[in-house]
Amino acid sequence: MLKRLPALAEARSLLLLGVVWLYFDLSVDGWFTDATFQGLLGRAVPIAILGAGFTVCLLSGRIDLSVGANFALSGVIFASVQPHRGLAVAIIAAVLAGTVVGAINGGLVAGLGVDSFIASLGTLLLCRGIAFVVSKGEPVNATDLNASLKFNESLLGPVSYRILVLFVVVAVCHVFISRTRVGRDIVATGGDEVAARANGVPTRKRITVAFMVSGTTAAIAGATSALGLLSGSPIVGDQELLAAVAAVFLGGAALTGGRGSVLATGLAAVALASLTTGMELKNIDVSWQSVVIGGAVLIASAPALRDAASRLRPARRVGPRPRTEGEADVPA
Amino acid sequence: MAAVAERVIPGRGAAVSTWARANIPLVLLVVLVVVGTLFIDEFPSSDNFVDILQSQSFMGVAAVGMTFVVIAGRFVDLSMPATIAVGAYLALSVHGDLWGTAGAVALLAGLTIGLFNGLGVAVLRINPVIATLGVGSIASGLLLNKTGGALSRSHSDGIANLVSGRVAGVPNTVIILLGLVAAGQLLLVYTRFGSYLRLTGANDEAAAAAGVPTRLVTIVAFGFAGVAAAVTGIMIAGFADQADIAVGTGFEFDALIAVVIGGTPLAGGRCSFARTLVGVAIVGTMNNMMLLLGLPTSSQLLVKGLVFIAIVITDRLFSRAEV
Repeated sequence: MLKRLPALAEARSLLLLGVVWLYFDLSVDGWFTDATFQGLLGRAVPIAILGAGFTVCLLSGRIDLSVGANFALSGVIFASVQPHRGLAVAIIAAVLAGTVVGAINGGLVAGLGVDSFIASLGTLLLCRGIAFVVSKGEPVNATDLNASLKFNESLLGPVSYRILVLFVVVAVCHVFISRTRVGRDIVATGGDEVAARANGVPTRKRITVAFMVSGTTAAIAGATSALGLLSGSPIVGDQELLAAVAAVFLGGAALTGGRGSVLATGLAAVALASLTTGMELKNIDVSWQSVVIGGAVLIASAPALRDAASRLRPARRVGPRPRTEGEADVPA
Repeated sequence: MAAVAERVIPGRGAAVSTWARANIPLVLLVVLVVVGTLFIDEFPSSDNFVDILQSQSFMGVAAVGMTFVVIAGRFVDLSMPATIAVGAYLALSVHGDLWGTAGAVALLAGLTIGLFNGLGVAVLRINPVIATLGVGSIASGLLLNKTGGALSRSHSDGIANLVSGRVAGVPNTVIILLGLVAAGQLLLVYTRFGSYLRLTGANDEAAAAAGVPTRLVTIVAFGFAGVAAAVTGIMIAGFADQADIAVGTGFEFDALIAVVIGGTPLAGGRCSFARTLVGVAIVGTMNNMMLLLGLPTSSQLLVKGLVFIAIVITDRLFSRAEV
């Protein structure tokens, strides 16, 4: 069951992506061009990276609302540190900050048992607060223009180093969740925490790890965004959070945990980015993007709609199955 | 699970400490005021106290709305900034012979947004945080679409006069706040809706099993929150005579902090609007003290974040001890 479900989710996301691309190919000139895709994938970077980490955290049954503020904070840290200490230190500092935030979330949720919504609202405020203090309320400019240009330079078609980060993070998170002991423990924790603990899974440690993953990925997103723009701002992140949440639920993850796929989230993120890019190419006012993303979040995350949809699917067979699940290539 | 009493016989000090525990917010407020009086010169003046209430009355009204949502056990309404902005915009832009028209339209808009929140949470069963974020995003997107991000300016004096005036030295905004707190408290204690609200917050499933229309209660609670946010927007519009789409920023967290610091637990159930008022006073005093101490605005958010986390931890530790 667990093996089949992710494939279903990924297929759904791929379908969504295909539909969006097809629609825009038909209604916009020059859709499948390097220029369009560079913009599209560029937009998808923060959404997919935030979404990947968010998915990992959600799989453990917890939610991390602080990722948007974390994103802003690490952007600010990167831009503040880089002029004084160089690129490498700036990146490390920014990402480390995100990991620390994740650890704080883990401590509050796994250690003290605070509800994850509330705890991460608190760290959200904390991150924003620190971001404002460090940046003094204004966007901070980084100075390494060459690095920024190199970062945004196209390597292969529309793909730049920046977009490469997207693929790497999504791939790493996916492998982590599906093929490592810790990752599988996280999924088990989210699926049935009591059973997992009874089976020897150190659930509290795993939840903390899950938060550290979402914190670190948010920081990676923030640092790369600041590098690409050569500037970090304390007020960003809310839109990215919302889009990431939409992508996560569009990708089929369950709010209660235990079900979801990083890959599906990544694909859904690209689909969302394609949607907003396409809307701009069609000269639709930017304000509609918030409306669309908000609507996507509501529709994608509504359990009531999901239940209704699952009732529309064909009923399960009762009785012995002719073949085991997962063997999709057996001819009917 | 057998509950083993941790303390066998309460000593005499227990009576005082129990009272103190139940009234920590009030104690905190007194402590803050004392500290402020002792250490900050400009603090203890009647002008300053009126200023505190005045400046916090906007947030206070939002907090009253938030209280409904928290009591119902639905955590938070993150769409408030958007609703406030919408309320402010409508109050400023709607033309009508009486100021009442603009105000009424703004209130209606707030109610509508609140109802959408309620429907999302109660009917579609979306998590309140996610639902209100989504609805808020839609509302602010629509507002941005309508205004193009431009500043809204007032066309008439009606609302401004209502909001900026004073009665016997007390600012109208404070009167509005106190009136809403009183109304909320009466609603909570003396009406069936109030009992339903508390029951839903205390235990959703048990309440539903006992015949409480929890879904309706949720929708109404969010509706009230939306109206309160609209009132905040109207008040701000009247006070400043102008508003941009960002007027509501930060109100949702301030309001939530005020509610929680006042002693209403986030899990819902136990509650009182008077507690929210105390919470508003505490937040207002803190803001005022930070201002008088010359703390830059950029640091104030950090302080609020730390306070929030401290409250959350304390709330958690106390509820653990009670189990």
